[in-house]
Amino acid sequence: MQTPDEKKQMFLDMQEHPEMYSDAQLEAMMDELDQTPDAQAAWQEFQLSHRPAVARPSRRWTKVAASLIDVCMASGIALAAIHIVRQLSVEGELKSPAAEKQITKAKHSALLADTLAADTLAHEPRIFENVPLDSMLIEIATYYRVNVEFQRDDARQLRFHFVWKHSDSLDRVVERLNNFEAVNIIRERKKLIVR
Amino acid sequence: MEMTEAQQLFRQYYAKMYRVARTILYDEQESKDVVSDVFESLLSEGTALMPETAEHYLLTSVRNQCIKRIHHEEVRRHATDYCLTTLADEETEDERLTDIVEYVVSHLSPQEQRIFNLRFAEGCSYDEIATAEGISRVAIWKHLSHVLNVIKNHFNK
Repeated sequence: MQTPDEKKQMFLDMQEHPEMYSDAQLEAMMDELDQTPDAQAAWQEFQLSHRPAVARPSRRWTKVAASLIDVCMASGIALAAIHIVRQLSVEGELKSPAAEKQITKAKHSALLADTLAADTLAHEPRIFENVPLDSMLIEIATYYRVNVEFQRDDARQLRFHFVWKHSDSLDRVVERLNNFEAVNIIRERKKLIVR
Repeated sequence: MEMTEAQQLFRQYYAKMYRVARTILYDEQESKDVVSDVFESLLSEGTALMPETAEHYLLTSVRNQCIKRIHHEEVRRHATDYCLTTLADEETEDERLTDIVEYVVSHLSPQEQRIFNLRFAEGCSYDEIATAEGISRVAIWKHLSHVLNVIKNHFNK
């Protein structure tokens, strides 16, 4: 009987060296990974443990002896997923690496007047309904007194529904915006950069 | 977001969200917790999702939550080192990661990109991906293995 650590080690090893395992072993691992708990039961469990605004501690992770996937690797997976999704959805079809380099990376920095006092704005949530990202970000950036730079002009016209709470930190707002498909914003000290 | 809306989204996307988390974290309970955390956040923050973007939002949130957990653990294990990390270092690191990803993705075959996208961005099962690509599940595993090894080799340099 394998311990959880050993099973996880085997999962990672199978990813790295699939040639060391039989097809049956790989199939068994895929079966295990695709076993999905019943959504209805999971929802009931979620409702029972539902504690608004309290983050669920990372309780199981710490039981694993070592995090065998490091943060760079996980960031790579997430960034690659965002990058590929953007390529597939924006370009419609995959481009060759050479064609990819042709994409113009026009840089435009929207310098903002730093005159609007934050406390003059209403502190109710601001609901952006189908508003272009550039308008949305300029309003948000003005509030937090930072500038915005668009490295991709097509990103300016992205539209979605977003509820902005003024009480959120700028980092939190950026994190929530980055959850949207095709949005990749990074924050530098006094600047938001849309990639 | 209202509880009824959350319940509907939960039922609709639970399987995909759970699969993405498991593919990254492996741990079953940890993966369940990640999905719960995403919905906890949606409910507590009153986030409204539009039907056409809900799936992508939820799956991206899952990936981000996975990174947070891994990062949290990394910080816990390397607390001393992390304290020495400056903001400038983080910015440089972010630029470095983005450059690497652009390089890595541009060196993947179109099929590898599609398979990676189906598993990590769309939360498809191995069966679904094999059917979509017309190849065996084992071949899918090996393609994904190659992609992950390419990412790992470049990110850990």
